[in-house]
Amino acid sequence: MNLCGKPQARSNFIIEKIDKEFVLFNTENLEIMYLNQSAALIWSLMNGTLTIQDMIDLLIETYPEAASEIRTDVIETMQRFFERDVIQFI
Amino acid sequence: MSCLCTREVVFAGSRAVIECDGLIARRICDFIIPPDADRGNETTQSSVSFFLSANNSGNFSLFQNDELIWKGTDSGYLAEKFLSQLCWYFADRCNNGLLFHAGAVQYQENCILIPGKCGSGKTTLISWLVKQMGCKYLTDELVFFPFGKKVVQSFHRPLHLKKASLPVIQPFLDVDRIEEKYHISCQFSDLIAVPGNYSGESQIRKDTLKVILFPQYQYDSSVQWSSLTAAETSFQLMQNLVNARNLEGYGFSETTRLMNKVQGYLFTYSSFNQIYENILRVIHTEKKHT
Repeated sequence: MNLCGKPQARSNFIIEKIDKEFVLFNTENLEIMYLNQSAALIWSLMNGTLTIQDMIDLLIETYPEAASEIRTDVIETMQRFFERDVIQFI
Repeated sequence: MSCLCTREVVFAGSRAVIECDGLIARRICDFIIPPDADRGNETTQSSVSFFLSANNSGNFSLFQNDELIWKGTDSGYLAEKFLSQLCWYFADRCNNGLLFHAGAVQYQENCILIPGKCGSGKTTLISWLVKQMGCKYLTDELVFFPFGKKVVQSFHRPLHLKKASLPVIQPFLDVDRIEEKYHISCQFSDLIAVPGNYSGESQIRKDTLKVILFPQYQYDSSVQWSSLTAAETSFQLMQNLVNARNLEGYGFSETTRLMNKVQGYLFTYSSFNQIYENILRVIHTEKKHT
């Protein structure tokens, strides 16, 4: 995955935040996705201006104790979003 | 042709009027929509008519809005077909609330919702909850949350047990020994009336919903039991919203709002001994915060 890409959520989703987690509903294919806390946090960083590397750096800065897992978490989550056509790169 | 009986049932904003002709057709009608079943008095947005007919030669017919939709010689199949058409109609037309493919039982004051796709073991679990755990049967198929109301409607119908599930429930429910008036054997399933629960009490208070169980019966499996977060529960529940396409925003926001005071559990099991302790614990659960 290209870490310099700037991911942005596609517009065809209805998003509900419940506690600190998200449930997404894709209005095109009617698929539902559940995002746990860490995936929800990553989702909330996707504003089209941050690259994936920026997001990793930002999260490591905020949660230094979890630095060793953050890079893998972000890349795997992005991969999952991409495979399910949830995001586009701009 | 003389009509021997007429029934009317209102559910999820629709009204169904059922007429039948012939003793066997009447028996099927009485069995599925008993004379003392709740008719409901709410205003409805749509209505459908069914006509079940049985002649002396053992030929059966089922009409929906005067159109012949099935004919044959198997009375059990007539019962199955009629029941499935009725449920399908309610789901197809419903646009004034959330309609879930789910069973429901009541334990003391609390309602337990049991959503699941066909074959997940809803009815099997419900049979056990009713027979062994003292729960009151509400439905094994459809539960309706009307918008803007503080009640939940359950669609009363006989338990619809697939033949494959009979060995699982055999230890506590011997289907072969159930009196004929409470039992219709069909080709692929059995319909079993739950006596004493057609008292018209098909509406329960929404705030009594405390627990949602997502069962998955799997032959010979070990038990896997998960307590779900509100978002996970919502995710699971949304997959059983059968009228989503009729609702603004697919009913997604309204479904998530139901999660306020509800605790969800997802579990795989192959015997009731595996889940007994957990079920006992959760049916007494009340989520303490909103």
